[in-house]
Amino acid sequence: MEDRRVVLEPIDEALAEPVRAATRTALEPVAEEPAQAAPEAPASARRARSGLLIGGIGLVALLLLAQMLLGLWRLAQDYPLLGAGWALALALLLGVAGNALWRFWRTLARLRGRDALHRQARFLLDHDGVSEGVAFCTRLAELSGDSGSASFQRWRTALSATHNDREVLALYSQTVLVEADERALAQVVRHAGDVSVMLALSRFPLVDMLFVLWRQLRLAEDVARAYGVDAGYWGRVRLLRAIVRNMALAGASEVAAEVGTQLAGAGVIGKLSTAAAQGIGAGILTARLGLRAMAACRAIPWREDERPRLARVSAGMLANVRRYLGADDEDRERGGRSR
Amino acid sequence: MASIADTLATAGSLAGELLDRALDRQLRLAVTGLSQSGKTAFITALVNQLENACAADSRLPLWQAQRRGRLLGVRRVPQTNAHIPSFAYTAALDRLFGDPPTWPESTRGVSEVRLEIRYRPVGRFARARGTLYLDIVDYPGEWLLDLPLLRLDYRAWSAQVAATLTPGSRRRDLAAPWTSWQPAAASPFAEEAAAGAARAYTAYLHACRGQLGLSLLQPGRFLLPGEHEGAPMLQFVPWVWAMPGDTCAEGSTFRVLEHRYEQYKKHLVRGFYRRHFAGFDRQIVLVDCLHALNRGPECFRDMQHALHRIMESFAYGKGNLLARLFAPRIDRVLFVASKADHVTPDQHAHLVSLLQHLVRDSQLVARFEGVSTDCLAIASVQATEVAPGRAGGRTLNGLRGHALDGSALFVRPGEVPAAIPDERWWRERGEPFDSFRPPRVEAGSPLPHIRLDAALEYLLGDRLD
Ligand SMILES: Nc1nc2c(ncn2[C@@H]2O[C@H](COP(=O)(O)OP(=O)(O)OP(=O)(O)O)[C@@H](O)[C@H]2O)c(=O)[nH]1
Ligand SMILES: [Mg+2]
Repeated sequence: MEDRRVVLEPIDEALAEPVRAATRTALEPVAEEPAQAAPEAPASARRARSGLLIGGIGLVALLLLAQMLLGLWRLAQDYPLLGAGWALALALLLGVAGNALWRFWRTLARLRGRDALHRQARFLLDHDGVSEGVAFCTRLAELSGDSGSASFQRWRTALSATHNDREVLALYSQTVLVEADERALAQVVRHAGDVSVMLALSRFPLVDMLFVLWRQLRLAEDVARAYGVDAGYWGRVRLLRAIVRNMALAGASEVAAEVGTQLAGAGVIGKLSTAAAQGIGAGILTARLGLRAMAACRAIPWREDERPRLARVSAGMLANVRRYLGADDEDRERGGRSR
Repeated sequence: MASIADTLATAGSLAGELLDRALDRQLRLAVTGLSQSGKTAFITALVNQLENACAADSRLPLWQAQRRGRLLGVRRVPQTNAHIPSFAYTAALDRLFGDPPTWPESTRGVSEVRLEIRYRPVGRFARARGTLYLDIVDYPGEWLLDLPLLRLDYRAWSAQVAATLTPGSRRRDLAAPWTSWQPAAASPFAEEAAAGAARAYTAYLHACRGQLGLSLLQPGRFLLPGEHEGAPMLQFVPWVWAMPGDTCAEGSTFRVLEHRYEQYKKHLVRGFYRRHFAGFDRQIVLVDCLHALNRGPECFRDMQHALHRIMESFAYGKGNLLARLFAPRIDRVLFVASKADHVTPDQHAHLVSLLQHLVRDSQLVARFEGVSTDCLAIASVQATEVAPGRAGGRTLNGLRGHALDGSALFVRPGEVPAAIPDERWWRERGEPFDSFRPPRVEAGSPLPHIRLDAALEYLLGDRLD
């Protein structure tokens, strides 16, 4: 019956079930699907490695804490007020970083097995369907609070009944999601700039670590908010691993080595003090993490030519940071020469 | 002093202008398709969409340059080859916007159109304005089938024709009037008899097209001679009788026919392709799958054959007779199933899949030569509207429009096979796919279409960066 030609009669518009209405939600069945076991398969080896990593970082952090407490105690003997100030700052930082970590962790636990949106987007992009794209994107817009926006309206008017799901999603990505991209990118640039400045000024590795941990966790949350879609359980696990790794690099003053080529590309190497290079390096690391968080949250993946480039984000960040560090640097250089 | 500075300034601006002109680029688009595949409709629709691309009611969202507002404007300009007629855009448009609207007429001669596309290039150091000239040639689809003749001599071509006249086939019956000529190869050439046979052969080609719906009909100029009607080089027939050895004397029937065939190739085919088909950058191949499905298995296979022969001639690699003509430049080929508005959107995927099966070999060859290819289902002019309707108590998505005779039509067409149909499909197939007349569109607004913007993106997108 389905594959034969049939002559149709007009239907009473009021009685007709809408054929491509935005409310038709074929979304749920996919969402209830049990989490795929695939990502868990190679976990044992990875878990051992990440266990080692976390143990190592814990140890280093403990040692650093001891060292810092020792330093603080010495400082407090000569300058009690300064010592107390530093202690307070450290306690504060510990508090916010710990809180951020706790919140991140709690969301993670809640999200187990809920990567449905991403999976469905991938399904729609890979298949030649024609009926679910509009409902899917409308749901995305509701989640991200875009359904009242001008870009969403533009997307709706660009649609026609002859577009297939892939085209509907591509249009949504290029009309609506590009604006979320901009919001998320602004967050990335802001946090990366903060990390740069802080690490260039701070002289305590423990402070560096805590600051990196705190701001990168915040960044991941902010990016998820910009898209209105979470990275999902596995996305968050991957992000957390990257954050912990960045924190370790920051603590060991290894960031400059890690992002050496990008630093060289930015044309800043050689002109900067070690501390400033460390700061900018950590900024670039943060920007990189931000882009990863964006890729993880964005329900419809970028096409290869749409992907935001790290070089561009770092350039934006550097422009901000130069204002602080550039002047600082020149002063120090001049001072060094006159001595 | 001042005058030297002035001269320098003038020279500077002149150099800039020259540079600009050197940077102004052009793109020659080959619109390829058998007769009635939708070439003229495509070109008309393309010009119409481009001319309206910057208007507020333009609907080309899948074309990046347009969606991002980088397009500054498009207009028709006189083509560089002043001796070739201009594409009858206005006439075609008048028909589409007529009352009742009708499709453009079948093409009877060659014509060209050139479009000037102005856009804002991307990138920080880009020029403020870029210009792309788009050149398109329209021609009768029948002539395209002369292209494969270039690689065949008279004997090889005759053998191909003889192979189609299988005993008991309808073709053989239709061919009787000219195959009954039965000349002796070595006998002196008789002008009158040959002219009669050529007339009978021409009538046979017309019958093959009209009655059997076949496409692989050669030589194409017999069907549409243009200004060469009656020239001796249009008076020959394939040699389907016992093939003579190499001993035929000068002036014998076989040698004269062979000579005329070669003259035909030299003057009509080679000249035509050199003049109009040289230097293509991009190619779009239009295939009317639905028509072939309507006409039946023989017609379908015949179309497949014809397409294959044509694409073989375009062979993009080196070492081909025509390599110098096309090969070095075509770097993208878009295959499209035209008239996608004849089926509901959920069938477009099947249509594309069927097309992919049809042009599989050509696609592989092109890819191997580093040419990128893609397949799309499009409608240059969307004649139908997608709407839900009721049939037997069920609600189905259907097509609403007007048949070619003007009667209102509201149907859900049958399913399109996703691969080359097999015996069973042909046995059990339902009613044919309907044809629709163009939609009524308010004068001045762009024509409705399906995926013409996606085609534009593929064919021009990267040249507007
Ligand atoms: N519904 C629909 N029909 C089309 C479309 N394009 C072409 N057609 C139909 O196909 C017929 C042939 O289209 P043309 O554009 O004249 O084809 P052509 O390839 O130029 O044919 P020749 O000039 O004879 O080689 C038209 O008369 C229409 O009936 C389309 O986009 N939609
Ligand atoms: Mg035509």
